[in-house]
Order: sequence, then structure tokens, then C-alpha cells
Amino acid sequence: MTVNTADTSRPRDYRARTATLRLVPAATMAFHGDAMPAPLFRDQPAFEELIAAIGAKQDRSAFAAVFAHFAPRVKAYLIKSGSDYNAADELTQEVMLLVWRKAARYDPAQANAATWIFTIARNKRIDRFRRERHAELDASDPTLAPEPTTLPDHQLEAADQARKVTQAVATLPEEQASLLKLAFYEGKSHSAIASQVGLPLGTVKSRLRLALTRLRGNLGSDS
Amino acid sequence: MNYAFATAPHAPTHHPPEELLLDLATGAASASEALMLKTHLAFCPPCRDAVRVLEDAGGALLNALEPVSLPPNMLNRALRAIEQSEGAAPAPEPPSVGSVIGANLASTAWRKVPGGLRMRRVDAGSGAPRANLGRTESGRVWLFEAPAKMKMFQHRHVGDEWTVVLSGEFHDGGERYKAGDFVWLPDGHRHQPVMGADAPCVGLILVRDSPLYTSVVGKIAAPFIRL
Repeated sequence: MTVNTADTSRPRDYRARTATLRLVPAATMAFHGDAMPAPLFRDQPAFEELIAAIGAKQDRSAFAAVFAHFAPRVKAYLIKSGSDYNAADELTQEVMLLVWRKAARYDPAQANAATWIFTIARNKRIDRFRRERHAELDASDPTLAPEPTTLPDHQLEAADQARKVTQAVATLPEEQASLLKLAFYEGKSHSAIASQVGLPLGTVKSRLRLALTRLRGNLGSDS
Repeated sequence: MNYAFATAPHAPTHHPPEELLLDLATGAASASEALMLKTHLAFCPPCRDAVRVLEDAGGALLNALEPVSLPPNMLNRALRAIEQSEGAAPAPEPPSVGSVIGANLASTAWRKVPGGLRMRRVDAGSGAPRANLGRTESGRVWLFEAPAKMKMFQHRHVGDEWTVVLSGEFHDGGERYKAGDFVWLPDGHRHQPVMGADAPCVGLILVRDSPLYTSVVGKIAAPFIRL
């Protein structure tokens, strides 16, 4: 395994912060498999720190804590998107191993933990069920058009955005939330959703558009 | 090898509609559609932000799912697999957008179309070769290079047509499309693009499968050779 342990791009106080965190997840090693209790770390920042610890020093107790929270949800996602139970176990395992392998390249300024793991699970689903491998945008590609502004703290910005979007998702009207869930959980296009729920395509489009406006609209409005 | 990505300072002014960005975030987009959209994203920081917001919604919805229990010892099995892979070569990364286009440039030849246009097939679903089972691809991506000032015959599309300009520009229906611009023409749209005067126009085009023409090349060439 090649892991860049000399990553100087991380915040200077990174080691101090993870040092205090280590004490807590170490306790999770006492649990095994599905006997593990539900989320030990409800606070969003903790998972970002844990993934960083996996990447920086192959911290197995950090991995155990991430696994305990996300693996059962990744499995739920894969089942909703059409996998049967046995295949879902195997795929969940593959997703979590990717979390381990990719952790060294995880950038909390780009995505919070749930978003990052969602994208890994989504790509695994595309890879497995559609037999496709999609090209990725490489953030380190020097030819990528640069972000227009350099904000003082991207990581806070990403966490803040994720929190607001989470809030917006939680408060969507049911008729919009149910369509958004179909889109994300089942990876369905607008027309596939329309035929599944028996609504006209135009209705599906306008409800999803309203949902997306709310996701965006919540950003910056109350900050 | 990158194909002149984002070398122009021009910020795109024509963007994919939000529903296509949603398809990208949810995974509903096909490999071809994803390649087209991500090529635009390479030029367009605001659209990258928009996709990030949508992926945050995906993360929130993942977090909100009722957990489904796993067999006992899944974690231990994962940790064992990690031990065993220690020292093994890291898993290959998915290809980057630039490398997909670059790899196709290296492995395919230009096909000439009357009018001075040249086209090259781009295989968007690259990676390990796989069986074609379950593939939901509907459409093909082509790289095109059209000479400056070239004027196409007026034509009508069957199915929607997506274009991303990589360099140069073209004009169509009173609009100017430049590097990074994403052009989405609906089913049945009638148009007559004209290339910019200064330089060849290079871009990617996604053309839907259509029953009207027997070959993909013929379908693309049709507007130019009056099929």
C-alpha cells in the first residue's frame, strides 16, 4: 500500500487534533460485526478527521468507527438501488475497502465524509450494475479551470455547505423528497421516475426543479 | 495526454441544464453523458460547485437511510483483507476525463467527412474491458474538428444532441459557443451551425442512436453530405 505519510498540505494542527481523537475510536475495537452500536460519532467533523487518520497513518480503529456508521447505510443504499442481500454484502465490503484505499487522497475541503462515501458507493454501483467505468475529473489536473476565489478555509466552507444541504433535504416537502430519493437511491433519470410513480414527466421535472432550487437556495441565505 | 483543456481563459456562458447535473450526481447519466458533462465541468467552476451541492444531497440521503445489518465479522473480514493487501499495488484509479480523450486520440484515426470536417470516435466507458451486458449507453461521443468558417447544411436532429466546445467557436441561432460551452439541443431541433472565422472549431459531440441512418458515421455525416 502506498500512502503518502509526508503530506504537508494538511493543516498544521492536524496531528494534535487526531491525537486527541484516537482515544475515542480505539474503544470501538471492542465491538465486532453487526454487534457494533449505531453511530458513535454523530458530529459531522469527526468522520472527516477519522478518514484523514486512516489516510495518514492507516488507523484501524478510525476505520472501525467509519465502518460501524457507514457500512450498514451503504448496504441499505445498494439494496435500494437493486442489489440483492448477498451481493449487497460483498459490494458493501468493496466500497469500504475503497474507503480505506482512497483515504490518503481524501480532501475534507472538497467533500464531507458522507458525500465522499456516497460518491464511492455510487461509482461502485455504476461499475457493477451498468458495466461502465466513468471517467473522473482529476482535481489535481493542472489544466482544470481553477476555482475563481481562494477562500480562507475551504474545509469549513465544505462542512457548512454540507450542513445546509442536509437541512434542506430534511425539510423538503414530501412530494419533492420522495422524487429526490428515487433519483439518488435508485439512480433513475427523470423519465424513469415518471413512469415508475405514474406522474407526467413535466410534473416530475418541475417538482425536482423545485427541490434543487431549495437545496441551492438554502446556501448562503441564512449565513 | 490532455486535449487542450481549459487553455482559454474564457469562462463558459452556456451550461448544462440542472436536470443533467442531477443525472451526473445520482449516477443516472451514461458513461457518454458523464464524459460530456465532466468535460464541461473541467472548464466551469460554478457547475462543479452545483454538482458538489447535489452530491452533498446524496451524502445526506445516504446518512438518512435506515441502516441494514451486516453479517457478523464483516469488519474483521475487511481488516483481514486490508492486512493481506498490505504492500500490494494500489487499485487502479478510474481514468481521468483528459486521459479518456487522450487515449482515444492515440488509438483511433480521424475519419474524414466531406466539407473538411474530421471526426474521431471516443470510447467514454473506458477502463477494464467488460461484457456489454446491461449497458445502458444510448449514443456515441465523437471528437470533431471543423475548419474555420465552415457552414453546415441545415439539418434536424433525431433525439437530443449535446456538444462541448474544446477550442475555437461556432455560431448557431444567434448564439456564440466558445471553449467550455455546453450546447444541449432538444429532439427535433433544426439548426445550421457556422464555425468561427479565426480557427478550427474542436469539440466533443454526443449523438443519439437513431433508426434513420444505418451507420453512426452516416448519421453524423448526414448533415454535411446531405443524406
